[in-house]
Amino acid sequence: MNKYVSIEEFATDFPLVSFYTARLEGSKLSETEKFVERFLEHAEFKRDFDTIMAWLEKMGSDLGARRIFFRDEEGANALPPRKGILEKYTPAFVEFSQLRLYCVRVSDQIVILLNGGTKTSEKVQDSPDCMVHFRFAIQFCKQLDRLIQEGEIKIRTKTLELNELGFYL
Amino acid sequence: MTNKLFKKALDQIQPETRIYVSLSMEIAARIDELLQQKGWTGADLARAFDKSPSEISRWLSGTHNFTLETLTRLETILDAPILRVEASPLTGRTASIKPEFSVIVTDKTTGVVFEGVVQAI
Repeated sequence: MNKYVSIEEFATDFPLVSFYTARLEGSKLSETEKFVERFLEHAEFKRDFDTIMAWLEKMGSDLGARRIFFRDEEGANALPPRKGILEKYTPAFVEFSQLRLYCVRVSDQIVILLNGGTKTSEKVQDSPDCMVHFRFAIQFCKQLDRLIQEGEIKIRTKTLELNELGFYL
Repeated sequence: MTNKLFKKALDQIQPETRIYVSLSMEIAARIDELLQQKGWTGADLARAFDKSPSEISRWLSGTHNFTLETLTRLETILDAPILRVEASPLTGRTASIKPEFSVIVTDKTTGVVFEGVVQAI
């Protein structure tokens, strides 16, 4: 059965980027609230989580949502971006990037944040905690692209204008 | 508006992580800007640097842990500053930090007679 997903503001006070999120119909929390609530007090992923939060903050306040700051995920995006080659040989960074926050970078000024999880394998298909959010992000992105092409969703600098508050996935 | 839970998460970021992320992203953004100014692609930089394009694209992501040597080469190749550190000039003050030395004193017959750290006077 198709799920109805609405798009709503998540953080629009930053000078350079507006962050939106998605909420499944009937869900108490938005997709990104689920991610934040799950990892906010999770000691094991404290550094990974802080890094993603700091990443969003820096984009929003200083640098904008440049393409280089995102990982491409079959049309959708994720944070953090792919790690540099040297990190492969730096033990301190081996753990870094186990966490994934899926999102859709609409422009330099608009990002829709979704949910995420822990990626414990080379391929996302082998990481069940991530896979469900990865699939959702790709599906969400396809539908969003279609609605932008059809003019149902308009991009106005830092704002998303929606004829409908959401869509069916 | 800023989501309350998100605000709480931002408030709890470790200062060290915030500084690290900020510097990493600024370096990546600066390199990206310089490439755009020169009309270069990552492939052009890769050629100049004798690296693979995929490696360069990883550099531009903002998660690369650059060495000073790499940054210096990048500054030379791109002919522009990337990282600048501001240090106060010396103004005739006496340095207040005393260097420390690890010292091991050995006696030829009895072996080690002192092992420890001494501070310069």
